[in-house]
Amino acid sequence: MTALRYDLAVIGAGLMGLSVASEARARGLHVVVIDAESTARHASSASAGGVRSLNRHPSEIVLTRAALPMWDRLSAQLGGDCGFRRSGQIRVAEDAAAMQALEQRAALTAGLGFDHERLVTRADLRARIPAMAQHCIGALVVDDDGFADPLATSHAWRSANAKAGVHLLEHTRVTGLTGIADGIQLSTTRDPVKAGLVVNTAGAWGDRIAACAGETLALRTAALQMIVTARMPAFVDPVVGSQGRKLSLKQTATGSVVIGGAYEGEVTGGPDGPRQGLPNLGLAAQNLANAVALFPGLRDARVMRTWAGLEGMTPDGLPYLGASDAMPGLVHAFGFSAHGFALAPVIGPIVVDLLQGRQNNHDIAAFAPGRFAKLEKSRSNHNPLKEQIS
Amino acid sequence: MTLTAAGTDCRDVIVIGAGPAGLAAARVASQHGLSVLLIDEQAGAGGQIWRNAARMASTPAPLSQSYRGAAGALAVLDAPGVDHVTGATVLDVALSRGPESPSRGSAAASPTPDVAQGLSGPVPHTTDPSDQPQVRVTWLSAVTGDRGIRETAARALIVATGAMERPVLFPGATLPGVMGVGAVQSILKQSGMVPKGRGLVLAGQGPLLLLTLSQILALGGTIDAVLDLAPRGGFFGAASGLLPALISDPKLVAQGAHLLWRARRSGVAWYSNVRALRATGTGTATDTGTDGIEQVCFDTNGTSVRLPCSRLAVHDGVIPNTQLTRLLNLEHDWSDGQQAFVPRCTIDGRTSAATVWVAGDGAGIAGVVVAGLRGALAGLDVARALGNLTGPDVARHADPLRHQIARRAPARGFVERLYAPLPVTALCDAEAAQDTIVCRCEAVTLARVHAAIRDGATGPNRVKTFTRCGMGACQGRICGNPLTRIIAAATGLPAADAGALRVRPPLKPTLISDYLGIVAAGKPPV
Repeated sequence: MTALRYDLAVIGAGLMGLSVASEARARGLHVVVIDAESTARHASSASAGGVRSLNRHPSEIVLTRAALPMWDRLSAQLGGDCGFRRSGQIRVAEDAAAMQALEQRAALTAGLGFDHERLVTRADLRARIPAMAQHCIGALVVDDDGFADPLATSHAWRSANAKAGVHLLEHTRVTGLTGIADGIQLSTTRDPVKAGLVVNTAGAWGDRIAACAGETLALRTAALQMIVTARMPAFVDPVVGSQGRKLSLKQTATGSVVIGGAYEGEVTGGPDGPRQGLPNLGLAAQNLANAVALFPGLRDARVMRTWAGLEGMTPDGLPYLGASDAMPGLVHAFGFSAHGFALAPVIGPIVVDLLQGRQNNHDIAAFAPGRFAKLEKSRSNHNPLKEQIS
Repeated sequence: MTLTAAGTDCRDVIVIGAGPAGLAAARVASQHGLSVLLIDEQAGAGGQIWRNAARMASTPAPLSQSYRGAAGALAVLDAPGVDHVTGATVLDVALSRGPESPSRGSAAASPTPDVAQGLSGPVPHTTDPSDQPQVRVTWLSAVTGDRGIRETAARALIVATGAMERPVLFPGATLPGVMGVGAVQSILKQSGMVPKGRGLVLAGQGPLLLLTLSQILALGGTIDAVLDLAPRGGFFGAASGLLPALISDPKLVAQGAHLLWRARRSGVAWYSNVRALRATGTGTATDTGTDGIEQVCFDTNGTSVRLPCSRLAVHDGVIPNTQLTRLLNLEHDWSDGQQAFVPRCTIDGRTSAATVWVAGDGAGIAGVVVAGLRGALAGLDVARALGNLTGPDVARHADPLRHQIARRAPARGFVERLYAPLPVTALCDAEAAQDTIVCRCEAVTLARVHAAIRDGATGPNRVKTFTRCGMGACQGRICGNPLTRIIAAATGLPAADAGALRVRPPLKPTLISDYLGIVAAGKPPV
């Protein structure tokens, strides 16, 4: 077998892999994307599609704010509609304790010098979303947040990459990484591939790819459940979450309501790692109860489908984003822990800057892949500001 | 009936589908001492073929011949150990994979992700005869006053979900007034309503079309025309199978010949070798109003014909309903003859999952008699697997049934070849593809599906993500089979490699208020 030769091999054809590949190709690199299954098969298509800077971990706020204008341009850039809309994102408080928590959050972000999050009063909330249950007393909002269509986005990105000359090897599993004189050799379930540089965007399988390089990165696989209803008349514009309730709810352009809340279904396993997620009906019922608590009118809606996408979750909920400590030429970008979708456009340039040794304006120190190894050495606890998924 | 600690109803066997196969399976399983829950979506047992069977005593003579054998089969509903729930919709099924909690499907690796795959083939099915429930079925009872989501556990599951009409693609097929011949049959059986007045046209091929035609006429109804979509010379292609068919099942062949003879002599206008079928009217795919089909246009032996038409009933045979077996990730094989996926199974109904059996047309189209026989065989094999029958006893009961099935096989093969399914795009040239809807719910045209395939979608699930085909209210039930065939035809891939749409729970759209019932009742929290 003769190895195919590329400047860059991207492992994992999810949104992060697509973003890295398109940026690298735009800078003239010869790029291949390799996926064990097919493009955006798991977390990227099971995503709720939220483009949210609201209630982000402080380390991720700058990145998500930077990603928003990139989302504005993405459809035009890719030549295909990603369904992005600046609908706003809102996190409601259902009681005084929740409102107090939101006020503290607003103070925290303001203290860090940000002004995108705003508190709104009960009257304002009512005016914004008349369909919302009367007991809600206020909310934290980001008016210029939004959401996009995950399927349309991955499809547009895949097509644009193909047009730009990015090679795509689907149904090809990477089984080994070996350092060679001029880069890295990737063993696969098909022909081997040689590349000067490699990026690991393998999502829930990212730890397995890291292990190929001799690196142990803690990752838990989660099967995040989603629910979609039949089409309904429009009743809510922004993406809605709740302080103290597991819920993320939005109404898409077609009228169907997409409901999530980080409920985890079952992960089935195969010899090559996790294989698929199976939604749990009882948990779907709890998720739906949360949705009905905020929108009583949903009682009469019909559930069309539930599904569960596999995502890699890190111990602190922050991604692994940075150069491998074990293998020169390898960069990790995975473990986005169920809130990576919004970041996709900004990850490509950051990763390619890293690969090329260029200066990037974003501070990604908090995402260093080796951070837990170092933490263990210094016996510190992990980050108290653990990301809340919504 | 016993209740587990979790409050779940528990049986030896759950049978899903109360048609000929499900009824026979329930009868045999209960005869051998097993407790059975028979779940069915209809208001009464009988399935499609014996629809409304409880009232068949009052059925007019031309219909009653379809009910041969029904009375005996329905007697099982009174048998001890058999509970029958009607109006019950199965939402989800979980299978135990061993000591851990039950889950759907199995854990084997899948080389082609678009194909629902499980273990490598039918497994021995020597289930641990302990009382451990292996299967959990979540279902919705729609009984007034007792509505709600229920969970029933069992040691074995028999899937007898029957057949559905093979969708036929042509421009205008989604206009109001266009329906399946099977739907016309259902209306006849359910309400006794006979289509009268002008404007009914039948189009397609196959025994059900001929049967429906003869029944409508015998009941005093009127049919304007039959558009025969069977390819010219179809009979000669299948003729070599006629003699073996006659030997194997003379009654079936005689019935078929009689139906055909009656149909051709009925005086109904008969257009043969019909192509370029197109329905036109004022309605659109999303219309639910009274507007609909006004005309049907087609070519017959090279001549273009245009007929006024207010109802067009279309038929191109039936295919196994595999929504449930695919939800379970069982192994399926592509049947070239039936142009459909069929669960991989033995004659006794064993599947790739050790606790699941299939029977009846859902296990491969073979008609009502074989459905009953296969149901009985599945019932026997479950009794064996659960330790209620020994090998020699099974053989004594099963051998005559297997013999009867084998004897009928040549006749079934002949019918399958005689009415070979139309190629999926036989009625849609490039121009018609613009107006031909593949997915009714999301209004996805054949032209858009072809564009997605050109864009690199080599499986139904890719086409789905590219176009939304299969994401609507029917959950891919209707467009799934044509989609596989369209991809196979366009790419040259074997249909088995193109694969099938993934099936997601719930199996049918379900009211959120029904889900809330299980939260309120505090079950099943996980």
